[in-house]
Amino acid sequence: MDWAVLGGSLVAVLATAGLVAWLGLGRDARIAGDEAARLAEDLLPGFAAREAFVDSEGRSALVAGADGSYALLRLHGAHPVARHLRPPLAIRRDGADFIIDTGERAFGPTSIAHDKLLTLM
Amino acid sequence: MPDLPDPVTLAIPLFVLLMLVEIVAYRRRARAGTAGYEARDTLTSLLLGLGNTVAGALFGGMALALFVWAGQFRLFEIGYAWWAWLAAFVLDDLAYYWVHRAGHRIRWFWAAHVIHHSSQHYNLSTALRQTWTGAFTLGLLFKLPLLFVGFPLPMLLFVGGLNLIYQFWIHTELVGRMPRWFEAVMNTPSHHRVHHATNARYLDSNYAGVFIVWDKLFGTYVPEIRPDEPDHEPLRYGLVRQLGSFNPVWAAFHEWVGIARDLWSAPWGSKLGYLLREPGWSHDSSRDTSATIKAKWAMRRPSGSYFGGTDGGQSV
Repeated sequence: MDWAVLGGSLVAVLATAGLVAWLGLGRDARIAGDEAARLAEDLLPGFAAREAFVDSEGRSALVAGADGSYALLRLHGAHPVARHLRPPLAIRRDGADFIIDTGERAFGPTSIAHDKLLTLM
Repeated sequence: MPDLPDPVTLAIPLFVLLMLVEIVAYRRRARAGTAGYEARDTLTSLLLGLGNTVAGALFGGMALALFVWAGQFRLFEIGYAWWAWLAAFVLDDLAYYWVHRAGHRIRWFWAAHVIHHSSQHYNLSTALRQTWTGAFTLGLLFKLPLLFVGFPLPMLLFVGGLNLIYQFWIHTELVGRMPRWFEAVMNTPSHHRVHHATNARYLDSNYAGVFIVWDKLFGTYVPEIRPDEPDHEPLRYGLVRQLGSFNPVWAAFHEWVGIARDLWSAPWGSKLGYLLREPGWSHDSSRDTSATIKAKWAMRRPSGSYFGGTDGGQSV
């Protein structure tokens, strides 16, 4: 392995990602209030949405399902990711935010600012 | 024996240039609703590409040793005639189709290939998300018949490199459809978007490398429904169960970890299924495979039907 090529490649990698960051591409993504339910149904096979609680800044959402389960949505960069959760939810309050834990270390906890989530605690 | 260069290494400046053109194009066009690039995703993609070159240096010798050994048993001495180059390119692409199809239909192979599908973006940087663990599957076996027939190993390595270079440019959303004759024969951005899409109707389709004719021949071809066509739906890319992490090490190894956990916890009679069956298979049917996802999607459609590839899917 040529270490100079490897080092040069690493510099090119960092420069390219830096360029994307500098240009601000993919920064404006939000989960809109009227799309959370559709997103949950699209991302989780068989999930039927009943009611959506969308974060006030559009970073995340919790969608209640017709069968009593939940879809947790959050932005991962410019796109949403989802997890299917069954009650009881691992939910706690942190100031104005509600923190929901999926139990997945790589996925991490998800923060949602929405008053109505108080009823789920 | 000619001393052939590694075409992929020579093509790296072209890869970088085209990626920069695509990035600038996204910035200039400010395409509504299309987040073509995102910095952390791009960084992960490129680090995974860099890791692939390191993995190749570490483990590529194993593959080379297998190929050299297999070459001893060749039936013919094909040599380097012009027609041999053409035949090697076409037959290597046929072998690639089956390697790739196995990479999606056998979880052991999928564990190595999943890295390439782990981005939710579909751009030229996604093309560089390449496996770190391909040497630990049996995908190489699909190429052995070419050595047994008698194609020289340097020729096969060279045309394999050309195949990878071709596949770089088709990882983009900025190209709509190519001319009809080209779409009919060649793999294109349109065909390969379908392959990367996680929409139920598109799962497990279009495994081609260079020639889309293999999918048409073996029943796995699904055309893209463009925005101006009836029944279009926006394409979503990545995995059925998105990673939700930009950690390149997790992207490279998460499926191996999943297999290890399943092998540990599954009943004895079911353990091999978690290695050799399709991704999503479980002994108690508690998880979704592409077939069950397609079935659930079809149930939700007003017409109760779908059209799509035949590999793992089922008409409802």
